[in-house]
Amino acid sequence: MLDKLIKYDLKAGGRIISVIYLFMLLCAVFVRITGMLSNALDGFIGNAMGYLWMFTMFIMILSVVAVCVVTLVLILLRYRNNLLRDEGYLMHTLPVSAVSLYFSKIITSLIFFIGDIAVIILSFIISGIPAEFGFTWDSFVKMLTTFHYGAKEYGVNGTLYIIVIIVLFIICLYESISQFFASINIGYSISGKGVNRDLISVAVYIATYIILQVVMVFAIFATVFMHGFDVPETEMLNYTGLLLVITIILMSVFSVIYSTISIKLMQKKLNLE
Amino acid sequence: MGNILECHNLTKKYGSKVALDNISLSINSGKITGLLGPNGSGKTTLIKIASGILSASEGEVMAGGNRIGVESKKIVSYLPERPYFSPGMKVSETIKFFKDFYSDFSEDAAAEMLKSLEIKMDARIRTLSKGNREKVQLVLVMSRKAKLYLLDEPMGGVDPAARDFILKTILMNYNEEAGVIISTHLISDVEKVLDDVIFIRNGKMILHESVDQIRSEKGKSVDALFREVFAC
Repeated sequence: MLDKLIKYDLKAGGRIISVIYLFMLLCAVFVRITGMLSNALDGFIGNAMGYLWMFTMFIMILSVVAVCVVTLVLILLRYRNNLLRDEGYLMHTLPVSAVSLYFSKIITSLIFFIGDIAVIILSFIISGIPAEFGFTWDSFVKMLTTFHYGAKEYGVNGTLYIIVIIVLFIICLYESISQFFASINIGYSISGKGVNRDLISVAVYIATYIILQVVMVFAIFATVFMHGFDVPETEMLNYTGLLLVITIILMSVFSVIYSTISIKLMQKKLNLE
Repeated sequence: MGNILECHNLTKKYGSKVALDNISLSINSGKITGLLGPNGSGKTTLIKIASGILSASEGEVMAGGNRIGVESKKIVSYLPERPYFSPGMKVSETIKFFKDFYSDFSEDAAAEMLKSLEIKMDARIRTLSKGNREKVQLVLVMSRKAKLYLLDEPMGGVDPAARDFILKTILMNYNEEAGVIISTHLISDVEKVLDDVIFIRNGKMILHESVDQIRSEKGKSVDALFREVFAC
């Protein structure tokens, strides 16, 4: 049943997100065309194309911000409306567990955010902006190769290091989404006249965010104090690698806590309007 | 005919407020039971617990021999008093949704009923009138071959003609092996289709009898008895 839930969640969000993806890709094509024309043409038209290139590039960069904001808002609204408001009467009476309902939303959110990143990268490649600033595929490969061999010199596996960074990114994404969801779940478990559940959710999010930051700072300082401040250059990659692993562990712990809170609240304290 | 719904010492508390107080009851298959009581008596809470929307504070609830959960939800068809489809969905998409999640759903039955109501398949839920939205929900809920139908205020806020349609739909679509619980305070409208009634007040069950018994032993209609019992 989880696959069916994901299908409907993707369909619901995809209707809006796909429009923004299309807009961003169109912007990228315009940036490419105006960039090529401004390089090829001289005089007034060439200058005009140059200005148009800058304008379309500005719009494209704005659409990059927009796509991330819209994705986040869409995910949060879908979660709230679909599971904790009127639509919850349908969703929570389906023959599926609260765990499936929750992870359908988590998986869909991860897909949308990873989709955002893929479309943003694709847009930049199409637009030719990176090449305009001297950043080509060859230079990217060269950068990775330099890092790989540089790391090897210090006795660090560069490929593993990059894998750890990717894992960290995905776990951080999951942690952020689960933190938002847990805040909404806690906010929507409160009843009473005149209670604004959305405001409570925001307050809970701020509180959990502060707690997370305090724990993270404490963990990083503890690691720094344990290793001392005078880390030799040859040990730096290993040292930052250790910090990354600690961050992964902490983020995983927080993700599990947030997910458990959300699922338990939906199982035991569902408070639909 | 076995018991399709059983509650044992069911209690539900919201903080210090007791919404359901130690209720024990059994509902038989093949019968339509009216869950009757004034506003705030606990009718909706009882139905929500049986459908899995709420969890009990104390006691046990079984539907079709299963504790309330994924298995019980497979055999329970629940109609809440609120519109629960996303406004952006098309009517055809709501049918597809039910077909995907409920193996006992009859797409043909739903399509036929919607056709008779002249509700277009490609219409979006948000474009339908309030009455038609409620009808779409009822049609989908009743198009399942469920073992227990939980209908919470199915006639609340609709005109008399629509009430007749709702009763007709319930009678035509429920199967003889299923139990139906209708929560309402529009007793005169629903009385003619009821086999049993449960009176509930302040979270306590005060009566659970057959309609025939009430008529023969008390010499009253359910409506008259209700007015007598719940007189302000």
